[in-house]
Amino acid sequence: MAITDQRRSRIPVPFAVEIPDRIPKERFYDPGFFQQEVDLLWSRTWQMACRLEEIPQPDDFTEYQILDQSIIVVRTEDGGARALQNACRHRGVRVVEGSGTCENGFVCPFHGWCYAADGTNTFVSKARTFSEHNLHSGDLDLTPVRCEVWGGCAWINLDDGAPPLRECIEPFATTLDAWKMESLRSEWWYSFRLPVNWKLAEEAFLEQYHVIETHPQLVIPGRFPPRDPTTFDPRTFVESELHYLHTMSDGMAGMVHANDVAIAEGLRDLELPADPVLAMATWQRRLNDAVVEWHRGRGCDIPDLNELEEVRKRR
Amino acid sequence: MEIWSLTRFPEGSQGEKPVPPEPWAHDDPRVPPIPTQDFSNLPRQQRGLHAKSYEYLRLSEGIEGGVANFERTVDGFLAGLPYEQLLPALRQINLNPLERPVVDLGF
Repeated sequence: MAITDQRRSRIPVPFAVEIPDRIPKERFYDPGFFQQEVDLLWSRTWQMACRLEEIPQPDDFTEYQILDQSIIVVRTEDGGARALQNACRHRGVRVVEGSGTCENGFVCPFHGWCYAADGTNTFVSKARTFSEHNLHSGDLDLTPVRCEVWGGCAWINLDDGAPPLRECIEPFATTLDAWKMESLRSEWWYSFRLPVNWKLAEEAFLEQYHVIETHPQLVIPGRFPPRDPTTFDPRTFVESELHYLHTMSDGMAGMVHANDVAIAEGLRDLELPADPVLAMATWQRRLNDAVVEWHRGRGCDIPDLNELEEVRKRR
Repeated sequence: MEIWSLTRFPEGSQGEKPVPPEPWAHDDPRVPPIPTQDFSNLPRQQRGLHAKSYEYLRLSEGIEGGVANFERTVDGFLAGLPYEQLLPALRQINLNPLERPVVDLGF
């Protein structure tokens, strides 16, 4: 029995996916469904809150917002990060907006309550006018939020009972560790407002079935072994590869980095075997080596891309 | 939606401190060509879903599993399943989703 033949009715969710390859349309506009996502998904999933380059120095902070929640992410002395709920324990005012440094702590702009960089309350003005039960120490600190650092990012989770970040992002984490994700730095950052449900936006990038129709410029003949190997021309293949790399680079402001395209251009005249499969493997191996060599030559930390390819094939 | 470009800098040099971007409209001419093509479909999909006769996304079991497995994992969260049941599903969707089939998530 194929998995798509299994009907599932055990999940008590409105508009649940009962047949795995049929996704009810209401999931993308029903307000009740959205509210369930707010209550049960976003409240207990790890989320990238910021890149560490946004908060490079100890006590640098930035604000992360998800739905109606605002979280302050603070860089710590040990290179890690901590997160705090951005709400003064007095009258709920957001203590900060945007980003900055909290080397002198946080001061609520409303009545001047003060907090240290770790969220500890350090000052309540006219404290003697409050009843004792409103000044219990511990109740006055900014509330901590789960925060972990991986891959050059700070991540938060609003559920204190969630498993550690790494358990929730495997095997992605292991794969990206091999690429030395932590040594990458931000080059650019774009933000777009899409008038669609968040899942539709995400799902446009979860398959490549759409490429032929949506991105016809990426379908470049000559990049794959021809049916009759005697018709293979290595020069035409290299031209097709270079054309593809340029199109990917121009198409997404560097989905293939301009440096890598330039390195590939340097291999334009590479001697290749007449056999198409061998020629394509040789091209890829030589290009990987050239990219690694170029990066290491200027002092960048980069893994051996051909070794990564071997590991990928063995999986 | 946000997109980051990360790259390698010589060790010791950090690149510039990133500044939060102003969000662009999905059809802003500054959006690069490939995402412009993706974004042009999305509002049409959001509107098209409402058609009276249309009931569900009719996915390819063989190559659109990335979408199906993700949606079913969302259901696991909405059902309030414990993490020991969610983690195996997360391990299925934290893979390169392209060309993935529909898989058994264990719930």
